[in-house]
Amino acid sequence: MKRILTLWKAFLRSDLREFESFFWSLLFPIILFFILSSIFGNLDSEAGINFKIGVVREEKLTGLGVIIDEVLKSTSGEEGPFVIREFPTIEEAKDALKKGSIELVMRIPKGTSSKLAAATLLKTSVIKSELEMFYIPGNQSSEIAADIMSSVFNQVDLEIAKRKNPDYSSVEIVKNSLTTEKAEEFSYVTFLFPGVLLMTVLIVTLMDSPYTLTFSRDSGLNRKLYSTPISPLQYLIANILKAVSMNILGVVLLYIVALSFYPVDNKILSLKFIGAFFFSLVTMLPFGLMIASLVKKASAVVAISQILFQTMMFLGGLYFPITNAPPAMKVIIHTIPTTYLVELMRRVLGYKFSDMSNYMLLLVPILWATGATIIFSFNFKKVMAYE
Amino acid sequence: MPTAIEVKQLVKHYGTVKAVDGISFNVKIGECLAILGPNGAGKTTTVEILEGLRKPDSGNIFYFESEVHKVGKEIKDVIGVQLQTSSFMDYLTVKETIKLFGGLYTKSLSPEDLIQLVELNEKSRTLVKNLSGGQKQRLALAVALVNDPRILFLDEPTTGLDPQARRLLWDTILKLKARKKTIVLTTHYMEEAEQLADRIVIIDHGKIVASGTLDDLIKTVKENQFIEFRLPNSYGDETIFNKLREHFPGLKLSDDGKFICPTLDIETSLEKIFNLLGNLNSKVENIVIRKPNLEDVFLKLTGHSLRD
Ligand SMILES: Nc1ncnc2c1ncn2[C@@H]1O[C@H](COP(=O)(O)OP(=O)(O)OP(=O)(O)O)[C@@H](O)[C@H]1O
Ligand SMILES: [Mg+2]
Repeated sequence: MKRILTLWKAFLRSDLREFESFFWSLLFPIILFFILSSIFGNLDSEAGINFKIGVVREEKLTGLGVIIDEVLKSTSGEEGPFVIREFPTIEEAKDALKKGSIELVMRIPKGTSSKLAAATLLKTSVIKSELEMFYIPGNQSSEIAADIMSSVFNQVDLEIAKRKNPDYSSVEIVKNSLTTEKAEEFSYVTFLFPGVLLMTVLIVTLMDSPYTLTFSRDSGLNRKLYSTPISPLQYLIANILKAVSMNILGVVLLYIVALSFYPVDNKILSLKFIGAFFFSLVTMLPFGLMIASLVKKASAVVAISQILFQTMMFLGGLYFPITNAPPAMKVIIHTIPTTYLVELMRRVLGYKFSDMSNYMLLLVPILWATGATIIFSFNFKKVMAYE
Repeated sequence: MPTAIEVKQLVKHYGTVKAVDGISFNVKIGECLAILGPNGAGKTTTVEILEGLRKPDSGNIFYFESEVHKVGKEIKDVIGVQLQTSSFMDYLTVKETIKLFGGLYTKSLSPEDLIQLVELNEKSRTLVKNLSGGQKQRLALAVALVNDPRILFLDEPTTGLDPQARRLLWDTILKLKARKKTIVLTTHYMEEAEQLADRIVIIDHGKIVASGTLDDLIKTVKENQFIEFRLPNSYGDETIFNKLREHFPGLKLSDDGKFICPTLDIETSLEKIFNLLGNLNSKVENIVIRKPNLEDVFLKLTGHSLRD
């Protein structure tokens, strides 16, 4: 035990001094979080010129109802702030809203035209025609779109009123907020946080750990260590402890920055979420050991690690939800463990982006970890050798 | 004197290469044994077997007079090892490196004392990556001593160092010898073996060609004097060499153009050389008369020189 701790301390100290590992494990995640949240977190408000709204017509508008059509037409197109997409059903429109492909849903329910006609005809405010709107609170562009749309239809009301009776309004807008499963607000930074967290895991487990092992073997450090009473297993444990502690250090820094400067959901402090993070770390560790088992030269290890790192990061959907991938890519997406790990962490925060069961989210990474551990065990001597 | 190490009929192959081919020798407690041989002779393989880094194909190893079938933790804990090429962590300082290795043994000496011993005081807070070659070798020696080993293995400790750095390291090793440390040293510098060793084992192509004290080995060369000289502006003229050889069958021409002539009668030989060269219209430069050395022993026994 004393030997493992001695070695662990030395490894950690050396890593903290070495710019590369210091940068990649501790600083880079924070920088990445900053960059991505600046670009994509603010995108919503800047894209204000062009709101995409989904319209669901449950009837063909006639009579006075045509006014609604005209209003929609005049507010969209070249002059207007809206781009209109028609959806056949409200469910599909809501789906598109959740995925972020539109900012607002406008529902024109059955009977709108006749209600409008009846109301005007009977000169009463008892019968009202209700237009429904769905938007995502917390998402700036969605909120803005909803506000604009409401005021537009207030105009419509006035228009109708002017023509008929100055005393009542016939079109009421019912504003509905649409949220994800647990009625949580969608926030990009909260969505992004698990992604960057998982990236820190990948840096340590895929990039750092297999390279360190291979490099120490090729450089002759292993040989020197094995001339002392330390055993290969103790040496490996010290290495893993170092990887884990480097990762934890990076993660603590990321937490501090995220919680101090960004509106990240406090749920990232929940035991469940931290548990999901450790689950990711533990299941990804053998992956790095597997790389070191299958690739001999340090330079080749770097190349393979890079490829796997990039694939697992982008196809895993760490920073953006992946939709509409071509079939070949879908295969990769469903194979790599990060797809499952990041979804697992996001579910703890209340977001659900795929319909895989929770059980699958645990199973696939565990299968990978088991396979990788078996491959590594068979190559243990080779990886931990000294030449 | 009791023996610290004894090896019998050690054999090690790498594929078809016979790196060590039936080597037997022993090291007494408190003595410094040098294993001298050219590149590829099997020195590193031999000591790495003793250090527990490699497994021999066959042979017996005895540590402190009891047989060891596998050189494991217990032995590693009491020996000190300086490898031929030492690699430490670039981002630790000298002192931290010594501390790290100290922590891997049951017993360890104070880093300050070791730094003092190898004269790295000014560099104790320097990162390993910023050390010079000689400083790195001295650090490697300090690390090899960190557990106050009963036996110290030094594999070519001064190879690649300039003469001054080599002297400095020799001084340290002599200090250790004075403290009666048991040392096994490999080298391909005969001066190193001459300076440091109590006994010398000469190996070539995995086999021992001779062993004994320096005096014993030198006695095997029957000519007791050597005349060395060069020709001006020449790296050894083949025709002159062949002419001279007719009169001196033992004459050798070294790679750098030095004529080496063993002799029992210095005066007659010198006169003859001057006459012959005079007849050939050649002058002589840098003439030296010296006693036989290990190089001559090696040359005589193997027919080739220590430095290939
Ligand atoms: N790992 C190895 N695999 C294959 N052959 C090896 C290996 N190590 C050494 N050899 C071969 O074994 C022979 C002895 O090598 P060794 O390193 O023991 O020599 P050495 O006397 O230490 O040489 P040097 O003075 O160059 O260090 C050489 O022919 C070498 O090429
Ligand atoms: Mg060697």
